[in-house]
Amino acid sequence: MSYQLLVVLSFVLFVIGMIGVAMRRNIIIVLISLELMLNAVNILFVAASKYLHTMDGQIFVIMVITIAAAETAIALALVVKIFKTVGMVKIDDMKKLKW
Amino acid sequence: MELNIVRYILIFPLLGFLVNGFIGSKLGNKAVGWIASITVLLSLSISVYVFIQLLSMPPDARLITDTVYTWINSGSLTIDFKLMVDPLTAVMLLVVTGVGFLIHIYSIGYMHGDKSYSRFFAYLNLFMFSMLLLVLSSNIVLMFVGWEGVGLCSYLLIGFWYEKDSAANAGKKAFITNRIGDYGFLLGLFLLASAFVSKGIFTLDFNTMAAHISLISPQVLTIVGILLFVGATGKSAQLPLYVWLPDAMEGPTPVSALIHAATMVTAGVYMIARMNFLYVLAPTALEVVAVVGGLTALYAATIGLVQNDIKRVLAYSTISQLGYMFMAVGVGAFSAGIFHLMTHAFFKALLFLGAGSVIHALSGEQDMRKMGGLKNKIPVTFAVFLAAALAISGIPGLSGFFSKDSILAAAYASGHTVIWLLGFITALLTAFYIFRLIYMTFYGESRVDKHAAEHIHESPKVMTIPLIILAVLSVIGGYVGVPQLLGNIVGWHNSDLFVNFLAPVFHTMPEHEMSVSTDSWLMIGSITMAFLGVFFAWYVYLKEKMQPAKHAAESFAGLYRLLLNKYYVDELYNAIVIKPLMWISEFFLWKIFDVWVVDGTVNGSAHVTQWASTKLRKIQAGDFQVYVMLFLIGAISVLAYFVLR
Amino acid sequence: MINHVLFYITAVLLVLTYTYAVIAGNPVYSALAMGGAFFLTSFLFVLLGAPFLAVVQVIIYVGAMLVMFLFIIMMFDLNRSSSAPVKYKPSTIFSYVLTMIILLVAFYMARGVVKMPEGFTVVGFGSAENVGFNLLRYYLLPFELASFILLVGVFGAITFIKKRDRV
Repeated sequence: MSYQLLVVLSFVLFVIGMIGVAMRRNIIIVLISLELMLNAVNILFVAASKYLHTMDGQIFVIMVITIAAAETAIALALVVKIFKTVGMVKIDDMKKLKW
Repeated sequence: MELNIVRYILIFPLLGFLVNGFIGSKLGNKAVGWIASITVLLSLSISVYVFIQLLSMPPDARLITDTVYTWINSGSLTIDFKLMVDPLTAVMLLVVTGVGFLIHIYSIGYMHGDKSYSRFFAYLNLFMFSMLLLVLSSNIVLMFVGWEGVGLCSYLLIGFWYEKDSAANAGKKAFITNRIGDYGFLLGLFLLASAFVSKGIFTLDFNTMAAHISLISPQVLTIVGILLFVGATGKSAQLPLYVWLPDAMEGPTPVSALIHAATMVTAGVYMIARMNFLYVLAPTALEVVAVVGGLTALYAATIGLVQNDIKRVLAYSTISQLGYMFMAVGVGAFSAGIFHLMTHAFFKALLFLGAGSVIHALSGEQDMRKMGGLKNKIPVTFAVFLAAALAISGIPGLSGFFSKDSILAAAYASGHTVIWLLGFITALLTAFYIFRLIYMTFYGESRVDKHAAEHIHESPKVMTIPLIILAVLSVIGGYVGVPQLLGNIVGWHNSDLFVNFLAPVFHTMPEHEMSVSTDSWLMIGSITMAFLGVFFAWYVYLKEKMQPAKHAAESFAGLYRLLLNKYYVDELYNAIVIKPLMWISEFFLWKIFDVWVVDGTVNGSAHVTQWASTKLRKIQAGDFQVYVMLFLIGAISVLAYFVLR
Repeated sequence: MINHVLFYITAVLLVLTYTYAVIAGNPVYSALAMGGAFFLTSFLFVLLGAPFLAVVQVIIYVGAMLVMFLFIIMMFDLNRSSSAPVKYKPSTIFSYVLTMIILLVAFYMARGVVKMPEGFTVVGFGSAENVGFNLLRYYLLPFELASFILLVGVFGAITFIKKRDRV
């Protein structure tokens, strides 16, 4: 179990999440992909924490989890609002704001 | 000695300013006036306490400091927000807070019924704060903050009745003229700072500077001295930057008394006395100070001879008396200058407040040609006014005599005979114009408008009591500095308490010995001049009912007009400075630079932005996935830069 | 040795669950795959000496966030498979290319094997006590700020959802 391998794993996971964000049109799945990206970063933090013998990485993970929770709450509230107002959750249909 | 109470001298007026400035209009006028006065009274009490502390220390170690915090710490240069009380500061503190307090009380009555009552007192308190900061600061940079602060307050208070065009313009004139002087002051400050820093002294503390002043070459010191004095000419209304002070009389009378007679305008004198360690090593700069002071004294006094506005006479008198003070510090008699500063604060504040009382009684009339015969109608005002006039004329026994005499003696003793002569003639003129004022205002037959005459009344107690206190001070204030010559007569050794008190602060010039007989003759000469002046004024304006004045005005019409129009200096400045400046502003700065360059740049950038955005908005089509892609490209570019560079 | 084997298994499973979460047609499956990925991550945390974080991971991500997602999907009946074929726009293809670049960069950066320190050098490293101590001792301000952000998040969500008289 080398640090390099963990970095690569984290990167791979991050990119998978990113592809999800970039490709999927269902807004729920986009949000899920976003969470997955954050999770990939968490793995990197914990790995670095072990590698460097310091707790800083783990503390940072707690912060990331907090922000992710807040972000999810807001995002889902938005989804609900959009669904109530527009009646659909497809991302590329939502171009109403364009000028 | 470190004494943390000193900072409260500053804090109380600041507190008063904040309270009156922010919630003053809700407090009611009575509360506002008393809050303002009590904050100054607290400062006065602390000042007295500090003064007593100072007296209890050995004469050579009289120094109280209070470091509040480190203000500037830039590279190696360190400047503390540090307050300092030495004998010089103590004198200024007592004068500023004492006279300031009396004027605050007086203002309660004088400003009664003004619709911006709380604003007035807020400004007044802010002024007290700035002035005390100026006086208390232990380094020249902090002093400059106070220096600018009093300038600002002066502007605000001159333009207090801003609805009046003349008041607003006078405020601007004062501010701009002061800025010109302050420019010189700043240049001097920077030069001084760089000179010290280049010698490895990384602070601008007065005492540190004094200790290391000899490191700096005399040429630099001379330039610094003259530049600082340029600042002083602006602040203290000396030639050639005095023009703002007569106009400043547009402000309320207590302001004229507090700022433009007793305290702010003396800041220049204080500054030079404070920097005496520098000036002592720069004799050329001191020479300039003395000459400018002497010329100003005579010059302003001649204008004062013919003015008809009661406050303007006093304004020119102030300029003239400030000239005396500069004369004193210019010949190296720093303590004589400060002594005159103190006595002048008493009697000139009293003259202004008395004039205010007269104006108050006459429902706003300021022209002396429409006064006369007021002696019995407002007796208290008359009595105190007379005391102040006697004091300023240099009648023996009153405060002005002692201080003026010590200045003239010092000027003569140091060998500046011409400057002494200027002061000597000015003494005559001073007595003449001030008694001209007295006779025109209080004696003779009444020339008051019928309408105003019905309402003549003595001012309320809240105004007269400060007047009486100031009158007492004007009479006895001089006895703290009785010249040794007179002290010897009554067998009082070390009678010159004032000089002895201040002596540790000042780096003395070489002493000039003067024989007792010369000294006596000088004194007799100036006494004669004072009495002559009073006599002439009595003869011209009372006995002959102004006829000689009219004859003189007719036979010397040119000279009369020259004086009446203040030597046409305002017109001169207008023609050589203001007009060209306006012309350049209008035809170059506005019509060419502003329209083409400034507006062109602004409009051009707007056009470019508009053009670019019409092109770029096509990318912003609302397609989320395109956004994500662009975002990715950006992120990858950053990453690539860091990996591949 | 057993750690190594477990790590490789976990890594492979993580990649698989991630991939499924991203490509699944039905949001419910996607969300469930995400839950699986979170469980695996928490296991990875245990292997990496962060037991407390592992617990937190399960509680918050699986216990709260996953449930929240599922709740929203069920409540608004969003679990219809998107039958419309995925359009392969130029942007999509471009993101694949970018992915490849990123992977290359990642390997480039991580070249040269760096061994992880074996065993725990500090007893109780990553324990609840250790985390709490660090959090309140050295990271009090960020901690408070994070709690404040959560509060703001709550307010924000409520404000969004709240029915207004006029929109």
